[in-house]
Amino acid sequence: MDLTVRKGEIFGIIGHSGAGKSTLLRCVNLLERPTSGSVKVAGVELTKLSDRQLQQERRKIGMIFQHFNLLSMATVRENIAFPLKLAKLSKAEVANRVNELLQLVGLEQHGDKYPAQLSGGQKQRVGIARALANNPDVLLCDEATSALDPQTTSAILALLLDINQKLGITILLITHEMQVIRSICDRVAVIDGGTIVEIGDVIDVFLKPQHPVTQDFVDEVAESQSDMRQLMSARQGRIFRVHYVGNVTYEPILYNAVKASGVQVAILQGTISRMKQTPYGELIVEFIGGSAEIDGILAQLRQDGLNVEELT
Amino acid sequence: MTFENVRPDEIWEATKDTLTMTAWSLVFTIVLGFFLGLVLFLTSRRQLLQQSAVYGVLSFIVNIVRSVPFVILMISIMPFTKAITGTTFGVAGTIPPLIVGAAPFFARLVETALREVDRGVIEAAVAMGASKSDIVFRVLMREARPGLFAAVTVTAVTLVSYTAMSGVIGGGGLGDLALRYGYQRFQTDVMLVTVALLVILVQLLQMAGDLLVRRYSRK
Repeated sequence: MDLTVRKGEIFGIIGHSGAGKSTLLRCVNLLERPTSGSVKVAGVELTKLSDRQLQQERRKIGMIFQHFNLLSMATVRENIAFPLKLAKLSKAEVANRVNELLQLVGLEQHGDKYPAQLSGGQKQRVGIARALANNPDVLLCDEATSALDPQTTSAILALLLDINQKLGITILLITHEMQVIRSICDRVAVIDGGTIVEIGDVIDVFLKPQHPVTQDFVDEVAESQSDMRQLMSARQGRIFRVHYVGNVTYEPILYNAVKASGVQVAILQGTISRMKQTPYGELIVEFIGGSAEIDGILAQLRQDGLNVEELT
Repeated sequence: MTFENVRPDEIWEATKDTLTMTAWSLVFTIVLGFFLGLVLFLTSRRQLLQQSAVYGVLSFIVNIVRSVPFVILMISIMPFTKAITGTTFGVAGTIPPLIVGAAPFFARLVETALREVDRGVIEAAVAMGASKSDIVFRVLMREARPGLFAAVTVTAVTLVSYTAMSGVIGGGGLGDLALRYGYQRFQTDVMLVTVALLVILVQLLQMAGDLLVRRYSRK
């Protein structure tokens, strides 16, 4: 397996449980040592370092966990201070930095509480603050939102995106949730049985999934295939999948193509949404009318930059 | 019932002896037992210093000492006791067997308490660049604190009962008093008073321990 993550990007690894994604992530900071091969982070080849050097390098790699892994016997402040004390900062420096971090993750009110007194989302915020304490180059997220409810997940993802944009930290995350990839990742690798089966920009991989596993994940958020087939069998006209990416999403292209032709259009299913900041749409439409007119519409749509394929 | 045989000065001396023996043996048991328990934990499977051979040998020794009844242990290590303290009698002669008997017991309790620490927390510390000593002192000892206090409490109570047993070989203290007057001379009143004092001592220790455990529990 060969994987390169670019500086400053949010890279997602998605796979079903047991696919090897967690092992892959843990190889990045050598919590798990690969049997062969090398791991380089920010130009340093970790696999060749001594124990002590590795400890130093790990301080530049933040990590957050599905179950947060906070010290239960320490307050929020003490938890965040932990990596700073490891880095041997002075008492005053530690106190200052902890205050900055509490502010960054929005937990100013909760500094003196213990983890057991916090909600899941708050615990993960502590985890994030702790991971960012030593100004890391990279943040590893091990299923960081899998133990959280959907609303809290969105808030934590927004925080991660904000950190990536403000601080320029490269984020490598693993998840089994499509939603996570869709909302914050730039690039994605789909992993199955210990190998990468598909890799690329999120928008490409998920609008044109090639591998069955990728298809599975896409279907999770779309309507299921069998429902779709049932719907299609009951229709009279010709049915097409139309998809488009970018600014055209908000243009009246479909209307313009159809209006003069006399062809009737019905939208059977549709999604118009965004992947990270890029708008995209995917519609299943039915055209009822003459063959020549419909072909004319298809040509027009394609000319305007839409992707059209006929479904049978 | 009258308490004609009860001599307050003797009772007081015996109580002081019991307290002295319990306190000194507890201190040494905690130090030695904690170290032994820590080594047992660290060298066990899937832990920081995994060393199956070391763990196997230590575990075997601990099991052997723990399976010998305390009375037998006390008698069988008499030469060792004499070599260290110069006597096998009284308070001084009782402390070494108490430690030898209680340290392996405490070590097992320490091992169990450390095992209760969430692996994820240890892993997070490793990921943050913690060294092995950081993990022992900043993570394990902190996270296991309630369990360790509970272990100390149980061990202290066990030591009180061991001190009583040491009366058999002339160990002194309340147990000795109960044995010599209560059992051998049929002075039931002395026996009752000493047993009552032992009960009070155990209750106080357990209450103090529970208080500490509660004070440090965060879950």
